[in-house]
Amino acid sequence: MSPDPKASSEEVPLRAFAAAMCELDAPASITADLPGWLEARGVAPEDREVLAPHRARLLIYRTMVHSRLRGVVEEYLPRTAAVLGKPRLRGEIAVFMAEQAPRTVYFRDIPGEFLAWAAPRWRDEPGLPPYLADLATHEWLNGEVANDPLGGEPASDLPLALDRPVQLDGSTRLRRYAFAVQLPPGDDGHPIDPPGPPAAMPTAILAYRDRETLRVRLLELTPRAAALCTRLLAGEALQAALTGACADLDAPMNDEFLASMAGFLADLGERGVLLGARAD
Amino acid sequence: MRSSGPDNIPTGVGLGLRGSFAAQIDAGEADGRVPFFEISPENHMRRGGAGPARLARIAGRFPIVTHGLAMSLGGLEPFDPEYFAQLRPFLDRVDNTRTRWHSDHLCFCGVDGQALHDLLPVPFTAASARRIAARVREAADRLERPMAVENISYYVPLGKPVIDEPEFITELLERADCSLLLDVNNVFVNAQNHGFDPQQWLAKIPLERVVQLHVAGHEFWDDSENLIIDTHGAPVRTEVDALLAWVIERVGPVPVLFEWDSNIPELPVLLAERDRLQSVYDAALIRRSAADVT
Repeated sequence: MSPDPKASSEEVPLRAFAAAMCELDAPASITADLPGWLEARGVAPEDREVLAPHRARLLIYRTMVHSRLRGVVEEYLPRTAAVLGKPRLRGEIAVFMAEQAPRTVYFRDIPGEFLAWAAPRWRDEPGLPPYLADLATHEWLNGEVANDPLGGEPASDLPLALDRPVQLDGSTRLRRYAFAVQLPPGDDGHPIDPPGPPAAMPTAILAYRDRETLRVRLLELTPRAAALCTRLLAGEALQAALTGACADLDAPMNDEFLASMAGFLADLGERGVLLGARAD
Repeated sequence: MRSSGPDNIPTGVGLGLRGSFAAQIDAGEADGRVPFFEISPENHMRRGGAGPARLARIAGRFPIVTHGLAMSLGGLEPFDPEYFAQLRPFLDRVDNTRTRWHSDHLCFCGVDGQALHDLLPVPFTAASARRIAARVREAADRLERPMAVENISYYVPLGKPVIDEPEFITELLERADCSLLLDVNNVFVNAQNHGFDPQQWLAKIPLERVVQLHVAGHEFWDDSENLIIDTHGAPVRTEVDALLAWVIERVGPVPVLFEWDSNIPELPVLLAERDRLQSVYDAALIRRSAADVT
């Protein structure tokens, strides 16, 4: 690590402080030789002298920063955090800080940034459960939809037309998983946490924010409904979406299919997800 | 309870609106007991769902004061225009007090686009004061409203101080021509951790620029480091009560925020602690009036 010779006297200590929060080997290096660590970052001798007695406090800052981030990840991704376990999650946060660190000023959005960074790594790591990235994606779906600035838009009041795209509530998301990571409903309708890992089973979940209760609702979709929704969310006209969905599934577009999809679209309309044909 | 001063500015001891009890506030459980609520815009702006509707209902019943967490006034990089594009209309919408000011912290929050979500210290130098003052002015211009800045608690001095913290704050306030949100708990925490007299510290800052106060509880990190952390997770200590009273006797009625952000107790406990602080505040105002009379 060589300091930037053009850095101002004010910039140097700020950068060193941020590095203490983020660099992976900072705890070990600072513990071993704080003055040397500061010198390597260009901190002036008089500033090094002031900082030198505060090795423990500098690392307390780091602990507080990392703990806060870990806390919000645990809050939004509790099942994922439980699968990882505290030591592994602590390590993941440390590597996340070193490689990227949060960019969002919105604290609630940190789990999404963390997940976008972590999911590809988790998918590639044989030692981790294969469903972990799907599970985390599904857990984050709730926070994502609950807080989405979009949603609740007025309906276009235009009848559905085959040559037009449809208007969907802005909070609507479709997620596809290789594992059944969603919690099944119990007898009372509330989700239950089943014993054992999720089954390997292609799964599609439509999520939206209810326009009256403002709660997140999840629908498990059939392959046909998922194929249609994927295309509608991409902005395809209704007819193109229906035709494309059949092609995706290598299925005939017959009366049974059309009747089934008509029923599905009617259900989305009653739920306030489908708001009519798009005006533009 | 006197709840507002001139120009409809709320006075007395208010609370930070937190998610753990916002539904109870919405349901009326604090009606008539809290003169104002303070919110952090970053927790509410660019957000849909239940939160905005609830905030609008609460703002219909209580004055709302805004206090940001993410401006990084001490940061090195230019301000994020998107953040200000979100913040400005949010403040215009939510400000129902005509306090007009928006506050944030004298700290930096990361470098190179990081948002570390902590209030990190800045060097106490004249150059730093000048640079941050220019950023405070820029923030006020971008928001088209006055800024107030808050003194933070810091556990490590960021290099050799060229001037002391009161001189740093005074220089910055004068150059930025802005107001001070004085956190008396932070003064106490810093005094304990860095070994200075908090009242001497307070006597050196321009109290005429104080528009709002913060008080909070704090906790020891552990026995080995003998370090107090500004956790906002405990009742306010009597020493901090005394500092609060000392300042109120000198600045008069202002909004005082009681912060409790971690290990938040049940609402009745929170309200009881607020009531206790309100009595400290009221007693200080009485002493101030008596001193004026005599």
